[in-house]
Amino acid sequence: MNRHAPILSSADSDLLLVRRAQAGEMRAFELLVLKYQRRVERLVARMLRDPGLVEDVAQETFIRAYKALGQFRGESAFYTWLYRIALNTARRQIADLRRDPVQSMSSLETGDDDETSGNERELSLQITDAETPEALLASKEIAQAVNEAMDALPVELRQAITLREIEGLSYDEIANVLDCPVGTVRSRIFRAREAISGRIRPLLERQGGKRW
Amino acid sequence: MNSLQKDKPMTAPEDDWRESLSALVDGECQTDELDALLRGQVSPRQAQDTSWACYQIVSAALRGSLDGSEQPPSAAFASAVMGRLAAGQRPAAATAPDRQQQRSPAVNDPVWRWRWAGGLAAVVAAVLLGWQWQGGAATATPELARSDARQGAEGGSPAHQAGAGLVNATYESARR
Repeated sequence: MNRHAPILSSADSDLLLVRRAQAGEMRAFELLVLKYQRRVERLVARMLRDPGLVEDVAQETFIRAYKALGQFRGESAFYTWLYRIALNTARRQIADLRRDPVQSMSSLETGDDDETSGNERELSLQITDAETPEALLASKEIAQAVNEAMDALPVELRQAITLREIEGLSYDEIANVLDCPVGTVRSRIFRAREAISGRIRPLLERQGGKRW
Repeated sequence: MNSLQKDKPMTAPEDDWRESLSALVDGECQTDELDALLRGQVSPRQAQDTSWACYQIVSAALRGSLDGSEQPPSAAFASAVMGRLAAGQRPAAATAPDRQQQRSPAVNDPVWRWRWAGGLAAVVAAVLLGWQWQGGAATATPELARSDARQGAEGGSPAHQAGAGLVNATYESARR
């Protein structure tokens, strides 16, 4: 591998992938889909009551996002932009259901019928699949496993990943703080991630199947 | 070997792509590494998906932003989305301001462009051959019409001018 190739800036990982997707590399967009699938579904589920529609609307969100990708300029975070598309897609679904005389009442969001209600009012706090006791327990288990894994890390790995994930420093900045080469920072962060991932994989397998 | 490679502790070769993926999570991935990751040259797709998802969840946990949606992403969902996109839904062309900013072209852009152009060239060639057999009067494309005019002015051979028109048609279509 050519290590003399220019290092990409420490800009947002999403922006790197968006630029590649804009240039036609579909795999880059697929990584974004994998990253944001569950968050989009959760957002959509908060607006629709019918869980059967959530996946369709979430898929449609990503389709629309891909089609509009040329309009994304990077002035806002990618997820902020995607979030707006998800909101609009869910709203369209709601409007379509309202127009349909044979609609399922259970598919409509709760709340008033005022068509001019603002964004915030549509985000009514309904109990959704993502907020069930089981989902919250799963999150708690993951958080606990991550904490235990962090405690078990060698101090230099723990320092590196803390500076990256919690303090938000770039690799160069971390290298300055820790007085070590950037390559060492990169390796330590990777090894920390791998160690923590090893702890949470059994939990994810329980949720998502054996592939994890 | 540059400083990045010689500084860091030894990583097992089978972990190299994971380290690249970890760097991508942080936006610190080298261009050639990203190329290799996106083209699937260094890792099975499923393994890449698994590690990518795990690293995202680890990041969310460390930043305290777990929100109950930490199920692993569904391969079926991503496949469905990508399948619909592959069925012909290309991204809208970037608007003029965006073109200023960005486009690092995909490394396979030239390959894609010329492959597509090759198909068009075959079609145009077939049309030209059909003309010649029929003794050829012209319902020429604008590019070929220019070639024809040039032939009249310069006295070039029909084959030469057909070739020039072919290149022009190919170039114009690829640019569009």
